Amino acid sequence: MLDSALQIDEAERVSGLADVDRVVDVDAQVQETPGDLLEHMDESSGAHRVISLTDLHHDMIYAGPSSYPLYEYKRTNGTEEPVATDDVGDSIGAAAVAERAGAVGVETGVVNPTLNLGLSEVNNDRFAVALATAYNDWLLAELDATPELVGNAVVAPQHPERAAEEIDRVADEDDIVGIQLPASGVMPPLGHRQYRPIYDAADAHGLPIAMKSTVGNKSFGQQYWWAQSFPEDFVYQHSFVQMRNVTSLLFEGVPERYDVDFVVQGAGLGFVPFFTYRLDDHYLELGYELPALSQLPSAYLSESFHWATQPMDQSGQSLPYFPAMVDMVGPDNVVFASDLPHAVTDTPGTLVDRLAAYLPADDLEAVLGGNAERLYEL
Amino acid sequence: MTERYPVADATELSEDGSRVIAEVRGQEIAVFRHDGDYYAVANYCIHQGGPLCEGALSGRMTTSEDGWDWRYDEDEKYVVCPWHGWQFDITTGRSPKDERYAVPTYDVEVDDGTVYAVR
Repeated sequence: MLDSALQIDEAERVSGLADVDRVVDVDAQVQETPGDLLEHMDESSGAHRVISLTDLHHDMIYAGPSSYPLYEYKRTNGTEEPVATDDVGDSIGAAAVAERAGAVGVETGVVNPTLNLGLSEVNNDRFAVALATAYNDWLLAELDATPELVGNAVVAPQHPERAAEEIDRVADEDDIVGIQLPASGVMPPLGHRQYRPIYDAADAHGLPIAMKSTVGNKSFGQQYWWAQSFPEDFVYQHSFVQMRNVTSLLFEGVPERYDVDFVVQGAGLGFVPFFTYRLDDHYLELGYELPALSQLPSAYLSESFHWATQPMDQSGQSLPYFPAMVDMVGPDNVVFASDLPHAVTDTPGTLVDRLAAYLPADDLEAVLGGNAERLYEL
Repeated sequence: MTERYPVADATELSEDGSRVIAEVRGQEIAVFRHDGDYYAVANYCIHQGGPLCEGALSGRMTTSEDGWDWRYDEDEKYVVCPWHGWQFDITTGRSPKDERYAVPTYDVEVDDGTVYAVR
């Protein structure tokens, strides 16, 4: 019944992916290795020395130990080799990502890191700042040869003043269109006033801030340590991490104070409708504790927040829950994300398959590319 | 056409902060006395239908221009729904946080010691 109630006239639909003007992927991921980062560090620097001592094991650099060995998950990337000692041993550079993205119909991709999604959990502030800078230099070199891709520069939330300096350093690069503020494990959460230099800098340069969650780290506090398997951790972490940060951003008044767009990545849309209503409900109930806001939380979400589609979290059946979510969140606030090259990739074709019967062509074009074009001025 | 309905004896509302809840044509209406005047509000929260006017009256938290200095404004004209805490200004019926959220209000007349709601 829901299925037929939500469907639109055939005349309003796109007939397939070929009908879509431009597909923009807001989350095409490169995979940087410790070795890649090392090449972009001054050999006399402390950070270079520390990485060298790890024998290039990434889980000695970012966060560890994992809740449980991730080896089977990593093998879903296609390798049959044991991955216990070196599971991020191979770079997946911009050229490889562009090739994979192009093959599924992505015309333009905005690149995010892999290892550096764990940057917020690096305890040493000097090291975190050095890792961000090395990644950004590696990324810029990678993007030089791939016109299909642009990127988010990563900054270390551990040191907001240095993060702001890093934004100033790379903001004028043509290939940098946004900032990645790694969402998982960041403490205090991202609305805290200590991060104001980051938002000042992003605002001054007109750069959107992407916040991507990750998993297999100590991202979500005490409960994480009792995950008895990787799936037990993987299922809930992304959306919980995002709700924690976005609640903090809203209730501490960041979108009231700054003209910055936010792109929430890695958690999909499923939680967004109830989360939005809950924010409004509690603002109306306990708004006296939230003096920084001048309007409903949902109004800020509508003005400044964009939600990346991946993972779509769909059943194998073609039920219309996903289009209903897009409709509830608002098609202007939904942006396509593939998460290439990882095993949980959603392709543009999958989105068209699931949305075409329910979303008018203009809205579908916006979700697949138009919104991201506007956001990133592509 | 509006009519007026007796809801209380004025002596029941002799002090600021006092209230009566009465039924008018099948609907519960509360009359509050606040700052020497009378205000009538439907005893129905638009959130989930709770008995709004059975809740406490409260002032509100304010902050200074720079957003830091935190104060309690003792003008207790906000009724707090006992179900989920949504608040409405009894003098306007509107939420202090978003005026699109509002509950019905009614005029009040006092005539010869009787308080009337007009609807």
